[in-house]
Amino acid sequence: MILRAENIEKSFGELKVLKGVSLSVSKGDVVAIIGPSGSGKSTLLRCINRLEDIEGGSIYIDGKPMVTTEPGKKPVYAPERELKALRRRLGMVFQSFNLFPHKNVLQNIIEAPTQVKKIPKAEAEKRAMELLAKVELADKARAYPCELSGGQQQRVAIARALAMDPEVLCFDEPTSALDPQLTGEVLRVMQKLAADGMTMLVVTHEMGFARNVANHVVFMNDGVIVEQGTPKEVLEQSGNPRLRAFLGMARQKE
Amino acid sequence: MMDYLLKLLPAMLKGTGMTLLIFAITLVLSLPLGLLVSLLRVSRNRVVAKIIEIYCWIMRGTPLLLQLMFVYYGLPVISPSLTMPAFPCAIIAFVLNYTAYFVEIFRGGIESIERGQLEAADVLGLTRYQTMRRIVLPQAFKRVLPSLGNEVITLVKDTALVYTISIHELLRVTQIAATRDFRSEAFIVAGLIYLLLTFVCTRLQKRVEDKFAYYR
Repeated sequence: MILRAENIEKSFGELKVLKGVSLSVSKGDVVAIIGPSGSGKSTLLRCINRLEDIEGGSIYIDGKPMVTTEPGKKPVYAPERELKALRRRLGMVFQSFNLFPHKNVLQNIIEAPTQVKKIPKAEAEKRAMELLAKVELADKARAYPCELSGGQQQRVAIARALAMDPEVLCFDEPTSALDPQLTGEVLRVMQKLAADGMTMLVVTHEMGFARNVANHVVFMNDGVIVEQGTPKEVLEQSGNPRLRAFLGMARQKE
Repeated sequence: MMDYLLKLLPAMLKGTGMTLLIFAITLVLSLPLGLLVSLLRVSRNRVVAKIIEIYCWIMRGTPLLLQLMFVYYGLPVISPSLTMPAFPCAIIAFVLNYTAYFVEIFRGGIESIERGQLEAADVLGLTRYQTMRRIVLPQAFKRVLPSLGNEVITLVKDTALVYTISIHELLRVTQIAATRDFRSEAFIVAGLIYLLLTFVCTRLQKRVEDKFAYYR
């Protein structure tokens, strides 16, 4: 089990966004988290990446505790250095790409390898070019983010995350900010990653991706996991009324 | 009239030299100081941030002229050991005042950087220092350039205030000449010199902004 989250709780003010969510990801899994807006799926992903502090529950990465909660107590995070090492095993791709606008594509990708891992620049650039080829943007290495389409920016963001060799790559609605015609090129790259055996945790509205690429689908609603299983079990066979209603609305949009 | 202008020129150029000296020293000291203090202002240390906030409030909330007079006339009254020649007094007052403005400008720039940038740097494993130095500040600097330019132009003109503590800068030299000769040309010449100085500043600002125009 590369990633295990147990009973995660999180509130924003009065609003309880995660009400005890548990999730496990094995190596090579492609997990799609689906659910209506406000169901807590993005928050769950952000908690796993420690972009938000959890208020209850535990998270383990490869069996090592990133944060644990004793019954009746507050969560305790691993010491700073350990936490950093654990977090480095996760990668994150954001809905709004979050490329560094003042750096060109190549500089965006080598920033963390050279600064965090202290990899020599030439070596980092060589690797970056390989990754750019993988996301089909080798010809854009010197371009600045503002010169790229949204789909291209997101593919650069994927390459940037991959450059740190994460063991689990998390995607927070990676295509939600894109026009429909640009969504396809990003999904194609993600599909390729999945085929290469990359472990992925994907919060998405793309039912096609959940159906065809994921091997495990999680349906969240109102801060809890309502249903999970294979795409077939969740997307076709489940009789849960909430899930059926959600899928019905999603189909109308497609 | 040409003769008169030629006669004025040496003294006025000397005054301009003094104006430029105060301008340059103030800028060279208060810009880096403003940047440094702005980093403390946005730091997680609440006490330090509050102290700086109060400092900026006082410096920006009272006239620079008052601050100048306080340093030059006020401090020696408090303690004779604080008596200083006019020039260092002017530099102290100007640097304290302009640092406060630059702190607020840099703070605004730093805080304008989207949260997503910080989160991206964070998940990539960059330290807080690396994030500030390599991600936030370069972008913030571009955003504050117009405000910095404004402030620099204001400084050119604010240097005229030191004439009140008997420093022979451009305005004082001008006034002496005009009173002595009972003629008004010196005022026009001074105006043209200030215009020239601010014009150069504007051009330099444009040059720097163009340098940062390669990204949006």
